Amino acid sequence: MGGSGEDAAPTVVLRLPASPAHVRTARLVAAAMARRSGVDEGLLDEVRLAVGEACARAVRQHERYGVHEPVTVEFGDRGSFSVAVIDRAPSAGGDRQPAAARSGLVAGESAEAGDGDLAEVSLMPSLDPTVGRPPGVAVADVPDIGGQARRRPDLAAPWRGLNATADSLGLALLGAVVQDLAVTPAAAGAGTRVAMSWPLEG
Amino acid sequence: VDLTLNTRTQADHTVLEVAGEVDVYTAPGLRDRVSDLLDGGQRRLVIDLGGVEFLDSTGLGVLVAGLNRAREIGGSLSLVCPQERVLKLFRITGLDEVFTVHGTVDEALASPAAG
Repeated sequence: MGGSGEDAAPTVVLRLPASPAHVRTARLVAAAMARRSGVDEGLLDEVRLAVGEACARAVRQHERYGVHEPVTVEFGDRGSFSVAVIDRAPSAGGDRQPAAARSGLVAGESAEAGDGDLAEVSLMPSLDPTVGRPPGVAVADVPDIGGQARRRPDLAAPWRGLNATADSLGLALLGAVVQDLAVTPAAAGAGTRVAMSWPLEG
Repeated sequence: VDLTLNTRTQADHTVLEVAGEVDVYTAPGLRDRVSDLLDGGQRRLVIDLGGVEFLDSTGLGVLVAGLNRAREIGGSLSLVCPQERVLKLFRITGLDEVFTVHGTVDEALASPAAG
């Protein structure tokens, strides 16, 4: 089940250079596609935010690993409005259960991050709700980010570790605004597929 | 321009007005400005998000880092956020408990928490 479950070919496919500048492009197309497909106006902000977060995450991953391939965004409008953001960066992979893959999204990526990210990775626990628990910010753990923050107001060392902080916050936002979210290894080769869907009106 | 940053001084505080879209592309600009202000001696900072049309996790991360830097140097950083759609992001992430968030700049300046 979930947004990734639809096997129908996407209606529109975007291939974006993995650059922060183009995340906005993806948001604009997502909002336009959602509106055209018949997603309720009240959900458009969520679509924009979720697609933006998924793309921002993909771009950060490509930068982290020095991957120069484009990020792919697939839009479908059959039955529901579906969006899949596919990156080509190495991921924890292996386990196809969404929950585990979702955990890998944080734990695997941070553990495997390149040399340049060591400072960020080591700082991550300061905002990581999984401290003292098995690795993996399941999206269900989102409220704990607040709890953690309340207990430890002195979060990350300033400025460094921004990407890791953004990754955690981005996951929290994705989990909160997308009811139908599936994170799985990409179908072919390296990468992760973040699939989301929203109901269509009428 | 996707992001506009304006700084002014009011009641002994530096008010940074942020307008436009704060995302993975523009957030570094916000980071640099906040960093320059705090480390340039403007230690009582009010960030006015009233003109923000879009804010993502990168922008939130910059604000968190700014708050930490402000505390580290004995300063303060409070937020003005009149928009429900932006406030919601703080609630979702639990950051509404981390920041002092005000509805107006005047309110922020009057608050003891703004230091």
